[in-house]
Parts: sequence; C-alpha cells; structure tokens
Amino acid sequence: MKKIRNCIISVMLILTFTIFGISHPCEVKANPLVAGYTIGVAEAIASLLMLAGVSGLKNGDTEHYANCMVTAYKGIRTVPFGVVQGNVLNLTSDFINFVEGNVKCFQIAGDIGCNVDPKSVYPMSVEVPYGQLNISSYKFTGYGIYQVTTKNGLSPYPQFYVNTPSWTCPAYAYLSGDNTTKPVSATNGYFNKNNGYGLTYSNNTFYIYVYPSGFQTNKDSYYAGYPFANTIDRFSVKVMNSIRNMAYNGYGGYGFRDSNDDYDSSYGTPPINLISNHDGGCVFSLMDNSNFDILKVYDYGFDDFSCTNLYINNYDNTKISNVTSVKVSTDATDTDLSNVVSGATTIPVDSAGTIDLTGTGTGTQTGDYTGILNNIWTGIQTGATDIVNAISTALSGVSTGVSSIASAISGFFTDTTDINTDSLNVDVDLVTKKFPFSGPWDVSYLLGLFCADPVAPKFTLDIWHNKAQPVVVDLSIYNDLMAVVRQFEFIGFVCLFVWKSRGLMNTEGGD
Amino acid sequence: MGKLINTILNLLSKAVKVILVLLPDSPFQKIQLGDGVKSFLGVINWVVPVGEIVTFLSLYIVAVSTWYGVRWILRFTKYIQ
Repeated sequence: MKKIRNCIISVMLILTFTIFGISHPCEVKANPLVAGYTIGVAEAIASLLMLAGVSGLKNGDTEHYANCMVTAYKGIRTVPFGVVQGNVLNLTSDFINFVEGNVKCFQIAGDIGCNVDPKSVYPMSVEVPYGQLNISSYKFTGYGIYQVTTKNGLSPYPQFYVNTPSWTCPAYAYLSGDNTTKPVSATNGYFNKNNGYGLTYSNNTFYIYVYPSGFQTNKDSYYAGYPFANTIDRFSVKVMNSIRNMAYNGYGGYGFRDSNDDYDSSYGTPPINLISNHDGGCVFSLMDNSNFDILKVYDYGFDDFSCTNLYINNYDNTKISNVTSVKVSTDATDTDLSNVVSGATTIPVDSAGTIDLTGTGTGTQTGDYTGILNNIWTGIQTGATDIVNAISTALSGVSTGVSSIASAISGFFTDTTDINTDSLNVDVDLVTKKFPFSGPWDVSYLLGLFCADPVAPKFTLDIWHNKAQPVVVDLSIYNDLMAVVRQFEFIGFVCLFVWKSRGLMNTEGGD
Repeated sequence: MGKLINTILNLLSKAVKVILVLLPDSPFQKIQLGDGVKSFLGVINWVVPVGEIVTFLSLYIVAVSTWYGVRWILRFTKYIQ
C-alpha cells in the first residue's frame, strides 16, 4: 500500500509541476528554486505536447518537397517550388482544359512527384531530371496528360512509370517529332486505345499519356484503384514480343464489345488484357470479373497476326468466367452473332421409327423404339449435365460473394490510416478564459495581482517642523540584507507547509 | 479503423470547441488594482517575498487539489479507505 501511495505522490508532483507552468502567476527571477521549476515545467510541457501530437511543427514537412518546376502549358505561368494554391492552372489549349487546382510537389523515395487537388483537374507539366519521371497522381478522373519538359531532352523511347505509394502505372508517351505518333516503349509497352492526337514535339517537350493500365499495387493494404475514375471505359492491351498500335486510328487494332453493344470508337468496354505470344493462339484474360454475356473479338486486319485458337480466361488465368460464347470476326462493323460459337447445348430429335395410333380396336403394336429411347436417354444425360453445371456456377457465385464480404471486413481492420490527433488541438484561451473552466487560472490571476517588484520604503519625517531640513528615512541601504531575509522567510514558509502537509498523507483522515 | 477513429476525433473536437465558444468569459480576470495599491504592494514585497509565496501557493494548491482528486478516485475504486 505504501508503494502505491508513494507512486501516487510522485505522479501528483509531476502533474503539479506541469500544471504549475501553465498557471504561473508571476515571474520570479531571483529564486533559483523556482527557476529550476520553470525549466522542468517547460520540458514537461513540450514533451506532453509532442506526445499528444499538439506540436505545430507541420511546417517542417516542407523540407520534404523537392525542387519541382511546375510550369503551366504554353509557359504562361511558372511556379518554381512548393505548394501552389489557387487559380494557377487556369488555361486552355486545344485538348487540355486546365482548371483550378492545387498542385503539390513532394518527394517520395528520392523521386520527385506532383499531385493535383482536387483530383478532377487535368494537371500540369513537370520539369524532371534527365531521363527520369515520377509523377504522383492519386485518383485522377479523366485523362491525366502530363507535359514533360526537359532541359537536355530525353532519349528516344524511354519508359516512364508513375509511382505512388499505392500503385505503379507505366506511362505511355508519344513523341511526335515528325508528326507521327510513336509509342515510347519498344518491347514491353502498354498500348492504349487512344492514339496520340498528333501532338507536336518541340522545344524538348514531350507529351506523356498516363492510362490506367498495368498498374500494380505497391502495398496490399493501400488503395489499389485505377488512377482515373471511369476505368470501366478504358482498357489497355499488352502485346508481348511485338510492337502494335492497338488504337482505333485506322492502323489496326483490337476492339471489344459486350452484349449490350455499348462499344464506341472513343471508349472501350471493360478492361481486358490481351496477351499474344504469337504461337497461333490468343489468350484473352479478363482483368476483373467483368460480367460478360457475349464477348466479340475483332481483328482489324493484321495479316501477320491471327488467332487460330482462342482462350478466354479469368483474370487470374484459371478459368472462364461469365463468358458463354465467343465470336472472332475480321469485320469491325459486323454485328451478326449468328456465327457465335454458342455454348448452348442442343438435343437432336432423331427418331428412328413411327407409331400409328389412328383407328380403334385392339391388337398388337409393332415398331422399333430403340432410336427414340436412345434420344431420350441422351437428352436426360445432357440435361443432367446442364443442371450440374448450373449448380456449380451458382455455388461459385456464392463462394465469390463470401470472399468479397471477407475482403471487405479484412479491409476494415487492416486500414492503416494514421490516427490524426491534430483535431484535438484546442486553443488554450478557450479553456483558461472561459467560465467556469477558468477557475484555476482565475485564482492564479488574482494571486498574481499581489506580485510587485520590491521597493524599499522611503518616507520623510517632519519631527522638528523644519521643512527646510526634513528627515528622510530611506531603507534602500538594507536592500541586500532584506534579500537574504526574504529568502529565509520563504524557506520558513515552505517548511511550514511541509509540516502542515503531513496530514494530507493520512488517507484515513477527513477532507 | 484509422479513418473511423479520425472521424470520431474530429466530431468530438468540434463539439468541444462549440461548447467552449458559447461559454462566457471569466469575470475574475478583468479585475485590476489601483496605482496606489501597487506602490504599497512594492513595499510589502520588500519586506515579505510575496511573489515567491504566491508562486509556491499556486504550486501547493494545485498539488493538493490533484491529491484530493486522486484520492477520491482511489477511494472510489476501493484501493484505499
């Protein structure tokens, strides 16, 4: 019990020193005891504030910003460094609508990056080091078109990547030096359905398109979404061992259409990753669980590229999912589905005999029922197979649903968002000057009114009624002595309270 | 989980700030002493270390208050009688 009591007393003293610093009624300079308290109190307050996250040291974060030149298109405005706020990128051009937004450049793992907020803006240009570009763009909506300006120029066909803590997205760049859009990546590029719009290459300026293709999460627990919103309208095609322009620009390419025929020339349908290994077969892998009924694949006329075998797999390359039929066509305008290789099962009606049931009377029926029975048996077998397949598909759907629920619950508990205690910051004046919470500070203030600098008494005595020679009593000659006396008085006062405080330790006593 | 906690903290912070803003200012902290009294206090401080004593009293009051609070909690939890 004594240990508990001593511990409590220690905690009490620590709290006392801490709070004392806040309610210090007046400044006492000459007392070394109080001066020591003051230093201790300052350290304690600083430590507590830091532990509570109350420190206002957020400004130090600007140290993480790198020198990132944010240049508006056509060079109208240049922002040399740091956080840009306001209507900075309010420009227009032939194909880019700059709108108001905040551009923040910062540094991630040694690479510079810029971010635009709100996310819906069409961002910016970034001056990057030679041969290196890292742009951070979180959840952009619409196209992210980056104008990259370099002082020394870029080597032909570099491969850029857009890095964020959540995902890495390969940037697809077009270099239009000769008015011909060229894909940047030579061997492992990600091709997008859009062409380059004939962007002009001049003054060492490159236009880089960043599409939601081939991104990958850097960290499982982070948001792993596409960098753009409408991802359902975009897809990318990855071509192995070949350079192909998969855009809908007349050069050829591949398009995808679902059963709703909502395909158009500017937007694709659900994301599909096409991998061609040129072995005569084509594997179409769905990048998500897109709900297809019928998937039509068009070959736009590449003579040296044809698929003799088609495999449609799930995104994890395991099995067919929700795709019931496939059609391969060489005509992009062909909407006929008659040649679709249907998965529907047909039961042939192939009777091998006839029965005449006309007339009346009794007799003996003759005929061959073998063919009819065989057909019935075949139909029963096929029907049973269909039923089993339907049940299997249903169970698979249930399994997928349960997995989704488990993932959602897991995501809730694995949310690694840092707890931000900045919101707990409360203005000190709101507490110390608001009645009735100001009680302790009121007492401190009132007691402080009695503090004053020591002044030696000085008065004049008119003993002999001689105003020409008054007697002046000035006790300032005892200032040094009185300083010592005051110290002893204070020590005695403290000793008195120490003596009287013994009763407080008696927990059995009354209040 | 972190987002949920941050949301709760923000709501609590806003609620506390609104309540504090609605409270009146303390009337005690508007009291001022006259000049004559201030000169007299200087003489008193020359004889008696009022500043040090007031400072110590503040410290002592806070300490005692804290002790009573802690003792009440301990009694409430039956750690002491």
